[in-house]
Amino acid sequence: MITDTDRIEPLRLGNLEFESRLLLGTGKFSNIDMMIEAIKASGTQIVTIALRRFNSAESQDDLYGPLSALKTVSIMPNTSGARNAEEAVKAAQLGRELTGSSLVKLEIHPNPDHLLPDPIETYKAACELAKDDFIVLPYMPADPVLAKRLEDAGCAAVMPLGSAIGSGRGLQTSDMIKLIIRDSNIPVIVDAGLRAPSEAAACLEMGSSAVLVNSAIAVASNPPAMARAFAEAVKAGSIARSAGLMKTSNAAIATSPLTSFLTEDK
Amino acid sequence: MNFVLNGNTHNHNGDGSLAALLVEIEADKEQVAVMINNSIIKKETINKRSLQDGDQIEIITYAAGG
Repeated sequence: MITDTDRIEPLRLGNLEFESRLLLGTGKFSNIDMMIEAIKASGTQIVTIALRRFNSAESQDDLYGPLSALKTVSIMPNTSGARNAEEAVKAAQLGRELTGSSLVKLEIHPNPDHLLPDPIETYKAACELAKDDFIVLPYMPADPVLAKRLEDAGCAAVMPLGSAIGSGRGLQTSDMIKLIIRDSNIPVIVDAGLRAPSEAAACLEMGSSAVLVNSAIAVASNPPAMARAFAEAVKAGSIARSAGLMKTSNAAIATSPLTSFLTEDK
Repeated sequence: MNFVLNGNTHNHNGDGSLAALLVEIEADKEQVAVMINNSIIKKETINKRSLQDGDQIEIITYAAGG
């Protein structure tokens, strides 16, 4: 039964609106057919792609054809591989020309050992891309100060990391993400590190607008099934958020009547 | 006519247009973005663009990534 609490506000990014609050990455899938099945099962409306040099000998790796056939999915090129703002801006411009999409996942992580985002270069690139009418979604450290700076720069959302890319270490930054959510006037999308659907539900319950998931789905034994599990978790978390979670208490608060007829003295 | 195409020397046997180069390397213009000498070429101008000997050309396409 659909109730009022099931009707979730759309996710607004710039001038675009999306029903789904699950964004997908396209890396690490065992093959393209599996990736497409997972995308369909997830119900996502935004998938991110990277860029590479064209080589006709690699036609089996062509993503353009299969992704273009998904009419309900928007492509969000990312700037993976960029080591500084200048490279990221160039990658974003190429991505827009390639896909026709103004969405860009801005990511600048120059150190391959931890892939943590460079906050200074990310901010510089975000300023430039927002002025150039991109819908900028920056992957960023879970830093509330930086999040506000990126909002002021004109980003459409911020994407703080839950933990390191591909680590599967889950939502290690939840305290910082709660601070980001509290002060943010733009969507907060947790990106990176999520492993289990329950973590995605937790993100939505705490007020995140969406999550971006890649490895947890791509390397599952059954990626389409895991994609569906994440979709259900995101939906559950979103409904729970709008339904209003109960307040916590340090003491027990009884749910049953405490009449003591069982132990009352005769 | 020789270019540096995606980092490698490429000997072009066509008419020296970007459109001919794309045909030569079996690239559909819808599936690529093109950069010549570090300038991005607008998709609608690909068919009008001619190339010069020694041009540095990057042909970019979709890749899997998160």
